[in-house]
Amino acid sequence: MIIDSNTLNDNFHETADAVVIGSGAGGAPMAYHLAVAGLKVILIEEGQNFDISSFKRNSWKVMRDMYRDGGTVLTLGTPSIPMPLGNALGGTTIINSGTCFRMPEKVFTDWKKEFGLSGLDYANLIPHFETIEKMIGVTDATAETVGSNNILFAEGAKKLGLHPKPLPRNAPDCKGAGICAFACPNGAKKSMEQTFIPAASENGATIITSARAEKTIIKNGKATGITGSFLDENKKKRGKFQIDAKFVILSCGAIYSPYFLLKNKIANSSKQVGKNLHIHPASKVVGVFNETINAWSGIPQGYYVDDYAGEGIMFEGFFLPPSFLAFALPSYGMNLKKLMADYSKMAGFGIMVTDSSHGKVIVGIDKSPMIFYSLNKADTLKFKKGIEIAARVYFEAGAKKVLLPINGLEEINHPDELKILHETEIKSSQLELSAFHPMGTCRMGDNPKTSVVNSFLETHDIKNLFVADASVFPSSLGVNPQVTIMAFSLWAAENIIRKFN
Amino acid sequence: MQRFLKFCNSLSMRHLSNREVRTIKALTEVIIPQDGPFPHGHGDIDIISFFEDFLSHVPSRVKWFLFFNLWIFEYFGWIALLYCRYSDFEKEDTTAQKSFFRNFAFWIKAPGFFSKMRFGYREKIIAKMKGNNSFVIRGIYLLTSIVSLIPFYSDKRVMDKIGYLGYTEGENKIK
Repeated sequence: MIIDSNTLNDNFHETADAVVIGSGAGGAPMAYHLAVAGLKVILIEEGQNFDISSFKRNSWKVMRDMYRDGGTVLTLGTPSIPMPLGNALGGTTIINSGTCFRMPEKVFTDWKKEFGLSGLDYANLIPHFETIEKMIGVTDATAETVGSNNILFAEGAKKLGLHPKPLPRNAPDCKGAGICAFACPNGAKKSMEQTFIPAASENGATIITSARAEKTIIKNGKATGITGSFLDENKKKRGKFQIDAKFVILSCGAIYSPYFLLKNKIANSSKQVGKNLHIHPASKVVGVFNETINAWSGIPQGYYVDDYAGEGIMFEGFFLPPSFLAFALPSYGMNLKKLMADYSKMAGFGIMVTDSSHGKVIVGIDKSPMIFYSLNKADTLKFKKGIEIAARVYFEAGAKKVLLPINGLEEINHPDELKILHETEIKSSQLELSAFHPMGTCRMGDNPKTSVVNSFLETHDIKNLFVADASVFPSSLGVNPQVTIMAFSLWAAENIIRKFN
Repeated sequence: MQRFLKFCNSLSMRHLSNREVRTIKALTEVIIPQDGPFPHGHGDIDIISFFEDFLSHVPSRVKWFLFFNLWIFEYFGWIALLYCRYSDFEKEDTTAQKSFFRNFAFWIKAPGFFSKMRFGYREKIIAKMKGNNSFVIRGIYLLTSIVSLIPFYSDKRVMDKIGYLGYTEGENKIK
């Protein structure tokens, strides 16, 4: 049952076996698995349950209503990085590009070596990956479905000896609307509100939207429930609620889960809560061609190139509606207007870096989360290399000019001009970046002095308090994390069920 | 601190003042010029209504931050021109030194309000803000530009002009 909190009375008080906070890639599969096992589950979501058709395919309205803080979340540091996060039923999965990778086994092996993770092996995750991929309909993008930015990049990449591949995605009935990041208007993307949440609801879970969890109730070192506030349409507090539960599962993402713990001053004996933030910083290169290519038609993120994944550089398709591309281009004023006149001749491809830089999340003076993150030199060099490769690929594909995400070096008209990247030092402050995958702020590990949760995702300090989202990943994944978050969530759910029984 | 936060919160409850409207208009004149390759510009789009609609949908701290941004632009935009120390320059870098003094002279001559500055000065400030090393200054530019660019490039006339046909309901673009 999905309930809008506005239909509930103030001072709502309920009892459950498990209360899950957050309905994204962590919370939804958790609620589903627990509900299927027969637990009484209540899932709390701060955002609303939107009817996507009411947005009438208006990307701006989606951003205003479904993105946290209207899409204005920024990291503070060098450079400042916009970080879009979802704030709706389905969490960020409703506004992501739908890319579905399993985590690389090598990354897991590195985690195991450094953090122990006793009781957990990569093999434990494989059945969960399979369940998830079936549930959310993961299939490879095809040449017929992808936007022309992908086709052109693939052509150029092949000429340079690279190996472009179709991305696995969770949109089996895609109609190519080209606005995946602004909530699929056809409902073809199988995000959480389309899959795990209705399935959890069918199995008896109660989902309450427009409700913000604020405190964990702790008795004798055990989490025994939560309290919080219902929100009205303008996100103002309307009334209070309390849910008593045997298990409390935090799935608010790598920004809001540590924020919740820090604000409550709990589970932080290791002093690691909010630290070790990784964000997969990303940038993009835009090729401008002589002919009209209409890259906005079809899947924007359809292909990828992982030839440099070993060096921490991943290339994935990218394109945006004009209002957002204008913001992403490295220009303004008359120059931007001239560039945007060629919008239908543009193709974009993204560069995502496995970051060794790390930041932190703190509770700010106004009691809201503040995110600090600065890009280090090693990651800046990865961007420099990635930008050069992506630019060369688009020149190979026939671009007349390439727009670079570097302040002071915005436009290149010939591949020979790229040598300037070798001749000049590029500072991190010159890069135009964005980030979509915060991770690592409640990292898991065996040692309670260096980690926040154990390998079953239960906090070391407080029994029956679990964290199931990307914040438990000890380092950068190197691939889009949604499927891995879901797999870890199902793994933790399995152990909660065992404990419950 | 609590009283200060309450004061900030009360500020964020209000609508745009005349001064803020002037600042936004002065900003959009630079970010979205009227002439150029297609005949639409800041004058054709009701950015103020858009801004107010946005403010009515975001939490009060975001509102407060946007008001604060506008305030910075209006009264302290010129700081972007000076955000560097003379001692940061290499001794041989005479161009940078001259530029520093030129900016300093500009500040002495015209420390006025952003909305009353000549177009050229405003353009110079935006250019400096956009490419600034300081995350505060760059952040202010990013947030303010997003609410100027999005309404303009979301306008149907502009989208038609640049060849974005978007997506119509029920349409299947997959061949």
